[in-house]
Amino acid sequence: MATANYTSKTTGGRQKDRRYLVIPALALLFQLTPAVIIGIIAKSAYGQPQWLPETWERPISLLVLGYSAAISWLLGSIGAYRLLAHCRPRIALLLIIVCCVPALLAGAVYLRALLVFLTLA
Amino acid sequence: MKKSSAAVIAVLLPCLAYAAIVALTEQASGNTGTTPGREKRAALAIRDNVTPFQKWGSRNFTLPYLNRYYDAAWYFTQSDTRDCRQLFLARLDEALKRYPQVDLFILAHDNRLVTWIEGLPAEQRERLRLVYNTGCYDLKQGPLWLSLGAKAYVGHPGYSVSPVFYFYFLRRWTRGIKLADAIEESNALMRLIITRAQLFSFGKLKMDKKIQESEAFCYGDRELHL
Repeated sequence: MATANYTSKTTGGRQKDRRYLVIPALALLFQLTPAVIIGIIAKSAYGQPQWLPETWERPISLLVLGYSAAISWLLGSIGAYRLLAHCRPRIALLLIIVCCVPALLAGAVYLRALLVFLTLA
Repeated sequence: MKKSSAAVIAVLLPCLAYAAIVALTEQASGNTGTTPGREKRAALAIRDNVTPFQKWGSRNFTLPYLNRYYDAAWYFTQSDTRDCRQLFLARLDEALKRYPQVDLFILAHDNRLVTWIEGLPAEQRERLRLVYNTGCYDLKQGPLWLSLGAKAYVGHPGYSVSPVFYFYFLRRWTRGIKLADAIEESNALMRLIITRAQLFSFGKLKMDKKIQESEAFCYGDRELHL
């Protein structure tokens, strides 16, 4: 009985521990979203048929870039924090490079694009 | 790792990412100009029929700069080669009548937009100032544009990566940097990007040829500024 309890706790503990992997994975997967949304905006405004008015296209695009930058950085940073705080250093470094760094760089690209489009950079 | 150290690193990472992107794509430039006389100038830009994404990027990049630094700006996106001709010429006619300085930004692959302009009255065409053309192989149009009245023409000699140049050039030109300097700086940054792209292409990109074909040159008054 005691053995069964121990096993159950250990398994539960491992499952709980692995939750630190969720946010880095989300950070990486999220990068599909801005690409898809911007593709849809571009097609809607400049493709055939053209159903998104040009006056709407710009504010929507800027919002998408802004939110994408913020979400990418948030997920990338929180993911990196959780990996560093809960994981072995080598594994943390590997996962940060694979999942968090691309998200952080993509976030920087979105922010850069936003600032350029606003003539601020 | 301690949670406080992890938190510090997590906060620093986005800053480092932004710094990396800026460092990879820009160079610090102390070359800044002023841009008085906004009320005297107008600009027109025309984008040819490319992919929706390219149209999206061109317009979102170009139009805000033109709106900010020119008193009047018009931007056209074509759906086919002859699309927008009437409207473009009507707006150009209006701009040339109202403003002493009119700049043209032709964001189109190998194009013959110059033939559209020939029909305008000569005294109006004298108000054309800068004509920038992204079109591949369109540098050769320079003498023709100057003969039509433009003060300066900037183009690319071969199969170019002109969008990279244009990304740097428009922002420098609108900042008031002298045309010659804006071209020089933008060419230098474009060379940097091509050099870096070559590293990632594992030697497939013929860097010297690409640079030679892409470097922008200027006909006419290189001392012009916004």
